[in-house]
Amino acid sequence: MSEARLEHAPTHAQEAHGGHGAHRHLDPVKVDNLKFAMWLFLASEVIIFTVLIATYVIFRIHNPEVVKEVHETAGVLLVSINTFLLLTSSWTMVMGLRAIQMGDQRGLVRWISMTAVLGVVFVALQGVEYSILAAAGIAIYNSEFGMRFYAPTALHGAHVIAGVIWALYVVRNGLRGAYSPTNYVGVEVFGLYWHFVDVVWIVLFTLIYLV
Amino acid sequence: MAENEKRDLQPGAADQAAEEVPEIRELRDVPVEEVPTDLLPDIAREVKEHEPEAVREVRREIEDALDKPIEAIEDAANRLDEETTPSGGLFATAHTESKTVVFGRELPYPIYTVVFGALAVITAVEIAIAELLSRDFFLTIPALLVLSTAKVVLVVLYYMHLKDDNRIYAIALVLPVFIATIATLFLTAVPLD
Repeated sequence: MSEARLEHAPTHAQEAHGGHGAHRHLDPVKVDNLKFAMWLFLASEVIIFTVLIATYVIFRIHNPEVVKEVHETAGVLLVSINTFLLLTSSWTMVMGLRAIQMGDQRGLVRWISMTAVLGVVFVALQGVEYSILAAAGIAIYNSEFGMRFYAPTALHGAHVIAGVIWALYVVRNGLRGAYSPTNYVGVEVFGLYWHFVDVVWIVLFTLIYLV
Repeated sequence: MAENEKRDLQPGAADQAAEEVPEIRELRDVPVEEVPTDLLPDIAREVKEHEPEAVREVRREIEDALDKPIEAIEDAANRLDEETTPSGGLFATAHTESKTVVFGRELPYPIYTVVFGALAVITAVEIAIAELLSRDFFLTIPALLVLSTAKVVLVVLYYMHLKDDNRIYAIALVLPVFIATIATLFLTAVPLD
């Protein structure tokens, strides 16, 4: 009498990060649900950011001269550097994912650590930018522009700070060997969040600083 | 067909082809790995054209057994290979490979690095447009919006993997973006007073 047994080859979708070593198996449905839950969260974020961006865009359409004055005060250099920093952090993030997909644990830790550092520098430069604007008399409480400018950019900055904390958590797990080529959904879901933060900045940079 | 007969027939075919085609004769003593690859398809065709009747019969027997010409089976295998290999589009390369094909040209960088390069270049162009052209010029703002959208699409497709991932994720993103865009456009058209 033969015994039949159905086995699946492990794929990334069948294993997921659980903080208890690299070979913990998870239901593939659970992994897909994790990613789908992140996408739904990002969908809700789209609406939140759209409300703030739309508020700014309407102000921009009706008050072009005010925005032009602020652009001349602030300049584009600092924010351009910040934009390149965030784009670079998106690249280091995805290279970290690629590293763990190829089994490079140290590469994962290195790339995600760089992502966290770039995020910190971004927030620090945003602080410098805010202080320059405040010195020029543009604050959140004293101008209509300030209200509409600080709300989306500061909310974005808060997302970067949250992302840096999450990146450090991923680095910690990476140092403990929690991820592997068949178990990287924890890195992937963080990547979705971080790239979304990058996407929001791409939109903010163009609409607020360039247009 | 017995194994012995096959072994007897194949060397004969090669000898006959070598006698009739000078290129094959010259290449007979060259190790396979040293034969220029651009010659291989032509040589293979020459060998087939000079195929002896006995070898042709063997081939037909195999084709009859498989119910299709061998070329048709090869074509089907190639099509299957093309369909299952990431290809087409602007950047045609798997994520873990260390080179990327862009518009048919092979670049020695992973696809993520190539996308990063594209994002950086587009950003530089955006900054140049914003700095050099007046906002009042009718093309400035549309150009900036198009470039910005291109960057968003690159990040979403390649870094967030929507190009290859389940469509349901794309729907989860596109639906709110579409609704939010329509709502924003509507609001911009509402007069303030």
